[in-house]
Amino acid sequence: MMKPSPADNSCVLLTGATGFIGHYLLAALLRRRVRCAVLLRPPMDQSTRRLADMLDELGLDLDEQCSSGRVALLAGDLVEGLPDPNEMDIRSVIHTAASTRFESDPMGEPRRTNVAGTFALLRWANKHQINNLHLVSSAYRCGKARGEVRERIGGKEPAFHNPYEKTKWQAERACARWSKAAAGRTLTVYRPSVVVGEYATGRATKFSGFYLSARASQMLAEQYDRQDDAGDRHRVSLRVRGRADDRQNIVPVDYVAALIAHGVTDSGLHGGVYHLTHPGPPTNAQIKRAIESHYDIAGGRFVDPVTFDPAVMNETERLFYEVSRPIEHYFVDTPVFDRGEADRLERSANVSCPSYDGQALCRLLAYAESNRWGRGKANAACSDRMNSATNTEAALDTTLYDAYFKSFLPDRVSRSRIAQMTGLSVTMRFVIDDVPDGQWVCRFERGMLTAVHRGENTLPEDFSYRTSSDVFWRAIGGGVHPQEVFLSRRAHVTGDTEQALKMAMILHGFNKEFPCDRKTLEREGVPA
Amino acid sequence: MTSQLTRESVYIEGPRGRLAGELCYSETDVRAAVLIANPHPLMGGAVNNNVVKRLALDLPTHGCVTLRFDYGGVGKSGGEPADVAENMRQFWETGTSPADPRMAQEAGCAANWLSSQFDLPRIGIGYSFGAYALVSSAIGKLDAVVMISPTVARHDFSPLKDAGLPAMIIYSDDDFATPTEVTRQWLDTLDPPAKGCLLTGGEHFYRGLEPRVVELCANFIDQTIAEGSRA
Repeated sequence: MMKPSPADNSCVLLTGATGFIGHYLLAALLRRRVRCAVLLRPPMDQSTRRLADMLDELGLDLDEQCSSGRVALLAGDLVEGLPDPNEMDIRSVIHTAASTRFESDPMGEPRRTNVAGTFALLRWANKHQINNLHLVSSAYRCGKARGEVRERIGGKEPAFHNPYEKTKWQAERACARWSKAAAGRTLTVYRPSVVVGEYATGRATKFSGFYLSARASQMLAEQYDRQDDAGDRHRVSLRVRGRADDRQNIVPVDYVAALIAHGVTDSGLHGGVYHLTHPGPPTNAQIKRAIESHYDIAGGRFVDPVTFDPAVMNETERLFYEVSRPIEHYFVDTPVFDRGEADRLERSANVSCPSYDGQALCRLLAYAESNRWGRGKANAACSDRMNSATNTEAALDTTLYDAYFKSFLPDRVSRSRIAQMTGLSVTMRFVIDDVPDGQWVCRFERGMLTAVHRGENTLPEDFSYRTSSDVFWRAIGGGVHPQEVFLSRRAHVTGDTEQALKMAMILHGFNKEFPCDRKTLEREGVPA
Repeated sequence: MTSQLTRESVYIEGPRGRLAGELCYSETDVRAAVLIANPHPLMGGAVNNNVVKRLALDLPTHGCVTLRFDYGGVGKSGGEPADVAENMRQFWETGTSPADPRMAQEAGCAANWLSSQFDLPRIGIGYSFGAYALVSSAIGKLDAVVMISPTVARHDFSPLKDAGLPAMIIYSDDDFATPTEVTRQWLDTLDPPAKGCLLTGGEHFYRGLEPRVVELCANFIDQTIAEGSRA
């Protein structure tokens, strides 16, 4: 056991502490009295505040942890530059930092963080002679491999469903090579399956993966609400490509964090590979029942993937698939994971994976909904934040961006001459780098804005623009031409560049037609 | 060197009003007059385009006087600004707009004006749609041409073959307007042969590669002048 004594100043370095798994893991480590050096990306004031807020929700006071010496904050970035540990006696690294974006984006994610970041971390470990590495990987690094997935590293590179899976496989391989390159190095790999909210409360900070089908179902339910349909239970005509008795392997984040924290602190478990997967995951049918019951809809039916014909999708199905497409393969390819080592870890930690009945599944949905799928709690809270002089510009901005995309834009586009005359059908993503969760996808059909979603892994886009908040505000005020900022490299485009540049011209026309600024949005309020 | 640069606003009569242009030159050692034709205005074609601006401001240090101008309805040039909504409907589908022939004509006007002002070898540099504008309306008034990412998949460049001028084609990989292979094949058909320069990572827009574009153009101009004086 690694039990720190008062004289022992050794600590572990944790990457990804502000991530979904990362902050639960940090809390679990601190509760085991493990000293942690936490890598935070500058600017430090924002990252520290974010971490403090997250730990606060888990009942831990970051200030207190820092002042007692149990937590040290280190400024650095996996790719841009890791700090020197100076006087800190870092013995182990727990690498949880990861991009969970399924598809590649213009900034090189998920490869940048998952592969380049891991390489940089390994070089850093070499330099500082740190020989004990704990890697939080993913069970789905197995890609499309068939048969039982074993708890071992290596083997032939499989085909993958998306770039995310591939980057997790590559990161594992890099770590395995590192561990074999010198004597005395130990690599422990934890492979969680689809991580969802805390079991007892449903609390989560990330709502991709499993949540996307629920999100799509909520949208279907909302459509019926808008139509003011008088039926008792809304029936949808929805074929779901998948088998009713296939399983979706979800695991609660607190279970994952507890097992990793135990693995880190028990040296007898080091060097293993652990599938942190559910031994009896819920079936597709169970999940469908829970979702339908929660949203008061019915009528979805599973269709065998072999006979499913995507060419004849109805409107309901199209909407469902647009939102849930990034996880479509989870309904179909449901690998079986060997759990021999994980069982050993569970027994040692005296922790077992809780089972998912309808209530447990509904808790996940209820929390996600109350948290507005990651956009924060109720409207009132947002309004309070807007009115509060003590709140940060960033928090204010976050609310205002939603106001722009979800209220201002739909309203003005419906009145815009340029939108109506061009009559385009296109889906575009806006990525605002310095805004937390700063991604919005807008779908236009024949010149009308028909859908807006916030977050990554939502609608697949034809192209995306990526820029800073400063440029964004100047552009929507009509003060700067989106094409000009692209040509001067203050904005980046991915996907269909030609369409993106043409759309930039249209957007500039629109921005001139309806210039927007913070005051306008504050005056008009925040969308529901 | 920049401190010696003179920038002079000029106006050129065009088919739909005066075209606003800018001459840039250094006071000494002017050996060639360079006309720069912008990309399509619906795709960022204006005098402040990253490539156009860099060429206009840097070539004077290589002994050139440069002229860049905005097409009618763009920037300070006269003429009704293009109705983006109306033009974009066609442009979205085809990459061409109803105003294209008039803009090509305007390039011809600018070439005439430059010839009337300077008794120097005249080099045209057309970027993207601007390459087409030069070829279609100004080729007879030029002694050599540089084409940067010419839109050969969308416009007719046959007048270049008939003109028999020294030419250089700068093109890039991952070009949305013209696939690299299409440009290569077109290059092979030119007679006399044109010099082809592939800039990897250019992606049609040459963001960050502007100095390399300037360097290639300056070398080509030097070579053209040297060969002209030997002839």
